[in-house]
Amino acid sequence: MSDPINANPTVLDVSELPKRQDTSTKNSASPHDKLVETILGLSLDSDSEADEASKDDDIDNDGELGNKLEYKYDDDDDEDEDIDSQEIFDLIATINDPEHPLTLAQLAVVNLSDITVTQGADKTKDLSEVLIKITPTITHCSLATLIGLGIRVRLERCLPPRFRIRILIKEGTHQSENQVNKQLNDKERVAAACENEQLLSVILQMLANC
Amino acid sequence: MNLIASIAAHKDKCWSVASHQSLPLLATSSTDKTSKIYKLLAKQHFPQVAVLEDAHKRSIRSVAFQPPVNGLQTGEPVDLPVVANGSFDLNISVWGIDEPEELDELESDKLDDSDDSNVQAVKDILCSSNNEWMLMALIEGHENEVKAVAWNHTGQYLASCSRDKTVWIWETDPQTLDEFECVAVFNDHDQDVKHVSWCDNRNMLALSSYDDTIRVYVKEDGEDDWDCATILNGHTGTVWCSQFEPSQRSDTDKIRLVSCSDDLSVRIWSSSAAGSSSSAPATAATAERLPSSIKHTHDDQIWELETILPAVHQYSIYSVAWSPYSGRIVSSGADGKIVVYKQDSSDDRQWTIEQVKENGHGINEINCVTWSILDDGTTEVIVSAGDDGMVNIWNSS
Repeated sequence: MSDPINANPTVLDVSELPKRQDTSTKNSASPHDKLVETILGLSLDSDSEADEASKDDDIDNDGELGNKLEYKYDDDDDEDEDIDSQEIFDLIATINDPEHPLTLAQLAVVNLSDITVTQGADKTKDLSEVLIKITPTITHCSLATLIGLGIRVRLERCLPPRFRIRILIKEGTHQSENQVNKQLNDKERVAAACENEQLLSVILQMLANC
Repeated sequence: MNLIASIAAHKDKCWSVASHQSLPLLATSSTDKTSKIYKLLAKQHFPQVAVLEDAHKRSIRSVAFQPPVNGLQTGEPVDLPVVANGSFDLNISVWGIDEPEELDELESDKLDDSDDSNVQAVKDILCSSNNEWMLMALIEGHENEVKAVAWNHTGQYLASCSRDKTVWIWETDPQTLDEFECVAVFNDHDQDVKHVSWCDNRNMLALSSYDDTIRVYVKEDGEDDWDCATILNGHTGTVWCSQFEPSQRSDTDKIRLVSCSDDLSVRIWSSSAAGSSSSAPATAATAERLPSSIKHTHDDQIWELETILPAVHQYSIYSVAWSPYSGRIVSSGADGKIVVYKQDSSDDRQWTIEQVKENGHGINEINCVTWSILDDGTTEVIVSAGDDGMVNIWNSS
């Protein structure tokens, strides 16, 4: 295998990653606080899930690649209203980096503060928008497009169709910023890329822990 | 704008719709790897005529009808309907029908019939679902996905464009469709060529590209070479689609082209036709001083931006069409809006928004819009194709 493009990336500890504050535990007097925190921490540190997913990978490579991605967002209205930047972050934080055995959140490629969600007033006819700015680990990262594509595939298959997804490279973090931005937001190119089995299998591996 | 009908045409994204010039037929294409043909009946019923399948391994991005050449009079060779599909699997397929036997029978007992009813009878036979649509040719050559296909006005040339940055011109016998020989390749674009469309009365075609430009190519009658007549600069994003003004709409020798883009604008470009005495030929010196949107590269043709249509769209505009019937323009795209523009009767450059239909396909994106006419020959409709796999037919008057 060729040398990694960024051999020594900065890694965030999983416990430092942003997570939703559970409103029921906001009263700090609650004796369950510690326990809840531990449980939430464990669920983010998904070692056991990761192991199972990597076993699944062997099966995936033999075919039936599409099935694993068939997860659709729950149409439950109450949950639908909850789609905010934290929700989007949770959907994409656990995507594996194509190069390192780490997630995009751990590598700070995706950051909660770089996700903007604009909700339309009426869900039945107004469009909503998700804008995500990704920060490649190094400015000449040739995998930036692949990472962006992984995020797009993940969101397109999870979010209701009223969402328009815009994925951009964070300003000044990549030498081919405009080029990558254009590719990632070209519907036709993305559609064609997703029909490329080789590329799709790489993306599926990135999404194995989601 | 009223919805006449909503056809559940495909199981996945519908990418493209096209209408036949003289027959009330509509063709569609989809990510589900099929292309379908429907009949446009004025009694607001749209039966499926054929399914074209098993020719492509990936999405069919584009569909185009070959224009009729001879007409529909009995006694003459009748134009049979022909469809071309361009696919992400790099190939192009061409489909057609055998001459229906009923046409011969019609010939023998036509004595008392008026011409009109004869033409109607021929139309009915050609549009019947009894006809078996067959794969006539599978054309290979592109190195990447084919993004669009289009026939010239004589049905002799089929143009195809691709992510491989090239456009190929395939020559065939318009009647027999015997072979498709590549007679020209244009490789001047820096990036994907997204769309190709022909002028309806001359060998002139417009190529829309991911490199934000449109290039116009021309082959003069009697010549073998294709020349780049102009490069239209001005859009600041991918140009998704462009269409020439239908010739019967234009009473001058001015050629106009409408284009739409990722930059959310719809633009009209115009050129005084070659040989027009009103346009003074630009000298080399003046050409140099002209802004880049005005280039002078072919004979006496000068292309310039004529106007930018009033802005409505909020997301990428994927499709634009110029009506041969009413001269109106329709655009649509990722925001699901269908926008109809009307030209001012006194001023060519003045366009107003006639109608805006929000949520043409609910909250889904619209990939293609086109104008069509129902089988009564008078009802003009707009046809739209959406990510929901639906094909919607709208009464636009």
